[in-house]
Amino acid sequence: MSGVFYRLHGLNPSPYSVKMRALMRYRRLPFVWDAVGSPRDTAVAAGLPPVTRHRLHALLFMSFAASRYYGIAPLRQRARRTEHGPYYRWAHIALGGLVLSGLVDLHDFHAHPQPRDLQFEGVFRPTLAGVKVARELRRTVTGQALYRFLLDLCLASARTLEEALPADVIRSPDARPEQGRTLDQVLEEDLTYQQVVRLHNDTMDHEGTPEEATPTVSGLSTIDTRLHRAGRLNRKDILSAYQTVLLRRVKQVVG
Amino acid sequence: MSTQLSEAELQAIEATTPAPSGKPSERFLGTCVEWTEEWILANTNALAKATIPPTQSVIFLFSETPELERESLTDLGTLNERVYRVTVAQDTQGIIVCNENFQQMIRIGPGLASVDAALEFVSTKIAADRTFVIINFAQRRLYLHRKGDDLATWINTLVPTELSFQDAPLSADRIEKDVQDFHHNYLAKPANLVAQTMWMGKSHPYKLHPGPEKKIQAMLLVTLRASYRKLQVWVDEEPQTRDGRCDLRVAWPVFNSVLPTASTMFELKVLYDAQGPGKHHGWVLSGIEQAEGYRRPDSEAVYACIFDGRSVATEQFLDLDVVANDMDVRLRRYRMDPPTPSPSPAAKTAAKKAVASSGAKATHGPKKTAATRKRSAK
Repeated sequence: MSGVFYRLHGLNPSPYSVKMRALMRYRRLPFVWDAVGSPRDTAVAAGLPPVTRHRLHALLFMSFAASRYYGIAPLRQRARRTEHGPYYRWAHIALGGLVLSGLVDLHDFHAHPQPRDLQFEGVFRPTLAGVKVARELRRTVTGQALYRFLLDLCLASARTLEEALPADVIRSPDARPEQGRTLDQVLEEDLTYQQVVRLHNDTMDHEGTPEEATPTVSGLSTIDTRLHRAGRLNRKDILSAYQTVLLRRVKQVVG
Repeated sequence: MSTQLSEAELQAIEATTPAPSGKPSERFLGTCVEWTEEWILANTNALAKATIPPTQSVIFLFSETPELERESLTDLGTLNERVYRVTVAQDTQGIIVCNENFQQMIRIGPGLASVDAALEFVSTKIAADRTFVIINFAQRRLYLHRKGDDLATWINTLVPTELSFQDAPLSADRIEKDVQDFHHNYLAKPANLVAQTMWMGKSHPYKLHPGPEKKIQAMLLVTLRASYRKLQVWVDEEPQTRDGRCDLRVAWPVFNSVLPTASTMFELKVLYDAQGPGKHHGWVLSGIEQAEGYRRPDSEAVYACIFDGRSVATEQFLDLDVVANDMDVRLRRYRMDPPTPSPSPAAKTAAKKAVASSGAKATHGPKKTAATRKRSAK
């Protein structure tokens, strides 16, 4: 137990951990889930905490779940549920390729023993060469649209984190891990994520058919309609409002 | 937790305010204004007691990846000190590389002796394709440099953005006055800063670079944001909708009212020769109709602002005043003087000959007409 909270050690979205979390919620026991933890470039541009493999895939999950709100068809709809969080096989292979080609810097590397795939954890940061390549890709129409969407998503996350943590925590040089944990909790509260972790399947599908809106897109559209009455804001403001709702849910759970 | 949002959750986010809008570099400028406001609020006492040195200045340099780019900016400084946005420290100074929301701020250079020293520094060390801001704290002034602004011209025509923090109640009329001042300072003459970035120059008389409305919008956005503490200014970034895209939205909080905010909308249109004279009337009319389309329940006024850069602006389409009045749209016209075309080599030679011949005649005195002869005889 830490302070007035229980600390739940678990690997999201492990069904055992999720079940334990559900039990603690049901019993109204205050707890903090100490779960372990492209959006990589935009996360840097938005000043988000360091991007681990787990955080990168969680950001990918939310971005795929939300992309239709920006009129972008998700590149990949299905993640595999692993004990190390949602896992996008091809994104992971691509990430490895980017590291090997020197476009992405990797540190704190450690491998996960997995029977089927090569999985590894680490902290990723684009290199200068990687930034240059990303700038070139942004010159295409699709590249620009993707970059803008992902940057908006990450800026909204940064704005939410700013509101989430007390000023003295943000001022502290040690604030980054705390920010990282809060970001992970917000990403886990994503409406689509919450829907799929309840299914206890091996896969984490975003949507049944491409026409079917994900809970995330439905939530964003509801907020859009609501705020439109008061004078339309931009889509990144809607993404920000959405994450503020998720943050309040996190606080509700923790508090 | 439900996978749908509850009414209570939706109510709780109704006060969402717009984040800085525009391109990343433009949002950076908006963040600079926000940060300076925060700094002034946090250091009000020091400012009142005049303990802030009049020379204290800082340069904020925009970068998408400050930590990475710092390594390639050793010409500007070799420090590597993390700066935190929320501290708004009284002694903030030096050269600081920042991302667009100031989540990453790295001081790479030491304090500068004065604003003059800062100007000297940027003119010699920083390329014109970079966006940066110089702030002098004692004067509450910001000098905004957008990427692409010619540095020599920028320094020679330096117009500070002053954080005035006007406390008087906001109204559409007050904001309209600020737009007039903006036009006078930045656009009216070809030598003005924003006008320089819009006109192609003397060698291409009366021609504008593409997207003139965007250029006006970007600068007006930051200037208005700096004028009032509680003013929210943002632009529509979305793809064009049925009502078109509003160029500038301005909102401010109001009290003792059913609605929490009041707002005003600006549709910006630029008239120039290349559009063809037949299009100008329709262009102004579309501005009026679009402005009307943007009206919201809390709108105090909606504006169609016409920036007129035509070589001959005698036709003012006065019939459209009636249309605008009927729609309750405020139609405002702002003249942008185009650069004087440089004469062709043939014209220059002819002019020289004319001067030479008139000079030769002048040595013999003016030619007397019959009338002057009569007058001199009397």
